[in-house]
Amino acid sequence: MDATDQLLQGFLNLLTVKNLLACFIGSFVGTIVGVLPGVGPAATMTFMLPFTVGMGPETGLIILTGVWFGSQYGGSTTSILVNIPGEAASVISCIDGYQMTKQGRGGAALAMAAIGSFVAGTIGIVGLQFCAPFLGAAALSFGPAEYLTFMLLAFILLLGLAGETPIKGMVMFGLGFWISGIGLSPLDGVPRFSLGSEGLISGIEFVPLAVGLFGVTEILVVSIQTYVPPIMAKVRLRDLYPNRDEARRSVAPALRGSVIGFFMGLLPGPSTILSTFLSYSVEKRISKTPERFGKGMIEGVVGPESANNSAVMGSMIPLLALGIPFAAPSAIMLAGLRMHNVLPGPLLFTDAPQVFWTFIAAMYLGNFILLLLNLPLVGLFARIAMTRPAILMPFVSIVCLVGTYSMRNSFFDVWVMIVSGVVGLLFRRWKFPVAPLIISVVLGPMLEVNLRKTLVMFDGSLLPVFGRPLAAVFLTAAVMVAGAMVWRAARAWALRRSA
Amino acid sequence: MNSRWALVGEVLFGCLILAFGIVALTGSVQLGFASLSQPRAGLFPFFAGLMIVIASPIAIVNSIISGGNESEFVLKKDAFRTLAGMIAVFAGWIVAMPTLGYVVVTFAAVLALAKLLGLEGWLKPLALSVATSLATYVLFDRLLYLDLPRGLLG
Repeated sequence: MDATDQLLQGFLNLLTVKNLLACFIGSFVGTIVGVLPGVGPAATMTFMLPFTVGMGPETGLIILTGVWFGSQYGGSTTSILVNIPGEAASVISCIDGYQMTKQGRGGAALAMAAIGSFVAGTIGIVGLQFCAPFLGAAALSFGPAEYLTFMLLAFILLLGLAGETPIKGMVMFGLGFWISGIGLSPLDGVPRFSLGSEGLISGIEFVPLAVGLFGVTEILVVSIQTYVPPIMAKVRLRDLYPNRDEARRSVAPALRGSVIGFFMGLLPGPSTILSTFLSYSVEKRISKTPERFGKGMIEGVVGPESANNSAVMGSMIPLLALGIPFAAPSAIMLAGLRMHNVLPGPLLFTDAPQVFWTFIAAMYLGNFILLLLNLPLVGLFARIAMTRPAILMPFVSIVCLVGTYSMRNSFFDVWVMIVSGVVGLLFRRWKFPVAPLIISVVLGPMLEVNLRKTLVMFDGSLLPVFGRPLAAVFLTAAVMVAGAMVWRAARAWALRRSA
Repeated sequence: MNSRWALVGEVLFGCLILAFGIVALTGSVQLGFASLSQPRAGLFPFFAGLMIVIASPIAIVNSIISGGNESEFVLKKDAFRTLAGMIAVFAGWIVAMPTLGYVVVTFAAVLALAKLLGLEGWLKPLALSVATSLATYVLFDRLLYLDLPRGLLG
């Protein structure tokens, strides 16, 4: 079967009540998550993980991606209307979006952001559809050495993109790998760090840990912050029509944002956020009137909003083709797929092609649903964003508690979730990034198996890695990136001393 | 919490993580990692512990040099009270669940959380508690077949 036939088969698989409902629920919940300041896509995806277990891999994947994708759409609503980003990837849209609202053009900004997101999402899905199987086929030649060196490169790139805190990122990687090692060791079944506890002998489950670190931490942070009711501008359906000039000026930024986002998504790190900043700076740099940026330029809204949607699709490629997540939401998705005994990676396209193609079909449909949801229902979503934490957070807390308990009907897991939430609060207080920990917990077992296999294969030395071209490229790149990071840190330190 | 106490907290937290790293390191040595050509169960946690032990002192020194990190939230006395209350509610949910069952415990937990988060009066918190406990029971137990503990209502 060629790609077109498989995609058609994917659409046929999608046409079940369960999958269509999953597509709608994922997109709808994602949009709500996007508009609600404080509740992020990673937290919501972890809340939903336990509930997707009984649904089958395609349906589970559709829901989780719908949430991630939808949150990128919804994030712009509060950025534009209230100047409060619903989601980190929509921070940049506040700058010009809110200025447009103050000038009475908020409706047009919302409409063009939604249309730009739709265009970018579609371009991203087409890119995913063609690139993932291609990369997957190339990755069939990967052995333990290639996987090991590629993961090393990804981890070092992630540290480099951790912003001001690469050292704290390294601490979190170490903690994550250690947590992933608790329980029986993968190759010889030796119990590690289980302290004789029955709950720990099978290791720390991913869901309680992730729900704690994302969900419970978020609840605790919101509970101690003072709530200031936002003042929201009203938008009517007729306000959503952009004028001809706004529509014309949005076309190129939407396309540029799509391309930037897609390629940024292929990189490790918070690509949805970084892509918006890159898109904004590109738009400003090539504009004939850069001085008007920050005063209500539609290019400054459409470009970044397109980029963050496309980046979601780009970041699905390493996950689906190699089985290696580059960001926290894709790590959660990997955990979800594993729960369904579906292992993403090169063999996904040969062993379970229906999962991949149904997912692609669902993304086309989900993207369309999101456009339909986001234009006429913008008023409803804006009102949801006004929900007080005192009403929202008790409900979210119960979803966290029930979701975690229901994974294995285990109260031990709920305790793990609560402890993780409290520790997550401390991580957040002192700016230890949680994404490296989550990614390393998910990838730890894979890294360990490949490390041990490589060491046995090469008799305890990593030098023979250079005899394998791909592994040599990955390892050299990792060493170069690490060297550049050390050099940059040393230079910054020297500059600080001389100042 | 003023910035000086925040810095002390940050350093103490860094030391706690360092202690975890040392535990990981010593624990993995006890597990044994044999040789690099025949690695055993302790090798991987050893590398993990090594990362923590190397990086956390640098993070601590960085914090001291920079005078501590600014945070998006401040842990004041009131905040500690709210946090303790929230955690107590979560813990109570677990402890009381087997005896009292899902609906009763969730009703009480939502009521307590709503009051802790400052929802005024009693009508709104009570309505929220009834709606949340019943709606989530129907959704999770009846529609998603999650088999929640029945307790008193069993």
